[in-house]
Amino acid sequence: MTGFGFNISGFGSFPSRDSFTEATGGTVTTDGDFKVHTFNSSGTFTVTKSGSNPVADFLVIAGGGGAGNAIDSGANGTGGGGAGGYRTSNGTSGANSSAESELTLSAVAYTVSVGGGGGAAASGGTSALSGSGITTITSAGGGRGGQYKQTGAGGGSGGGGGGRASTSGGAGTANQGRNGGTSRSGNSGGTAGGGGGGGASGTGATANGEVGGAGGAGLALSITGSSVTRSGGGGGGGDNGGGSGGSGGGGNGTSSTGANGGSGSANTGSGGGGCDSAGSGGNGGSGVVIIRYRFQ
Amino acid sequence: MAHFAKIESEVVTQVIVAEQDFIDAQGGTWVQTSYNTRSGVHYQPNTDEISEDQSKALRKNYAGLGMVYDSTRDAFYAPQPYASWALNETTCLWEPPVAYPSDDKSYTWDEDTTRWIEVT
Repeated sequence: MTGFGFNISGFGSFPSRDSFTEATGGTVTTDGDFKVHTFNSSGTFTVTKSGSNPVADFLVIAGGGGAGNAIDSGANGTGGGGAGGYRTSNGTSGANSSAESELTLSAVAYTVSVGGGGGAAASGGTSALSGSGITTITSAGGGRGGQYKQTGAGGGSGGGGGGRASTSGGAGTANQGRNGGTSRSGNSGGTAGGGGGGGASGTGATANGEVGGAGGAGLALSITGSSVTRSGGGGGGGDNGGGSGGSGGGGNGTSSTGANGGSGSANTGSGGGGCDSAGSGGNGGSGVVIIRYRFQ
Repeated sequence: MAHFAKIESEVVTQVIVAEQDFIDAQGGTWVQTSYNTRSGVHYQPNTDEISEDQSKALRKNYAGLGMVYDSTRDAFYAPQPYASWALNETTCLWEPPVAYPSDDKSYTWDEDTTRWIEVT
């Protein structure tokens, strides 16, 4: 008879299980194993549990710049507004720069500030993500477009120059956006086109005589799970045609007397479109902040 | 969503999108502003169509960085461009003492002579 006996084996190595990040704030959606918090308005991103690998991607876009006004400009198109500064860790960042480093989250509350779009002749508001343990991520507001003979303002992306002559656009911020375009005088005396506002990817176009320059292109990103293009520059205004807004929501420039420039799309950080005689520059679009992390 | 302007020494230094409870938790002076108000008139969002309900018009103009917040008038407006220009109390826009010529030519303002100079 063989004795009773038993052997215990295999209990020494349970498979390891990650603990995941948990957080609240903004509008929450899911994309596979990731949660995405979208802030179209300022608020608080609260990490209630950091988890074992608390890294997160971000997108911070500032408000787009407003285009120049045509007050005191006669038949001279105004510059389009520049796009809001564009910073991300999830793909190509502003001015086609490399993706930034991911965030390492702690179980704290982070402040999210979403910049408003600039009104006519005003630059956009800055957007920021700040909190304990991270370096604040700030994106500069898009530069306003120029009025008559006025240089476009610098910003995340620069605003376009105001007609006439060759008035330069404003400078974009390194790794956030591009420069605004230059204005031009027309062939017939006393008219001109405004330069296009800079976009996150493309520089604002120089005006073609009396036709406003196109706004610079924005950048596409799939941080929410689907590709969305944002941060386009506003088109310049012109006496013989407005420039098209840049991809991603840039406002179109206008050419008719008294017509206002098109607004940049909300929550894209795109610039407003320029105008011509007696018009008002289009408003810039508001910014957005998006945070993405693994939740399962 | 509402827009709020941060005011420092009567000048707008930041404009953000936020709800009132977020603003209440911030330091400094913040004043609400309307994205769709221009020259004292409220427009339908992102259009040039005047709203039927003008009670939505707020503080004359949408606040922009560098603009003035005048607490006496409770209004936002641009800095005065020339010493001779006067503020229109209805629109809170600056107006020259001489109207812009209406002959489709281009002019620029000359403050020394307080008149429009044709640009050729």
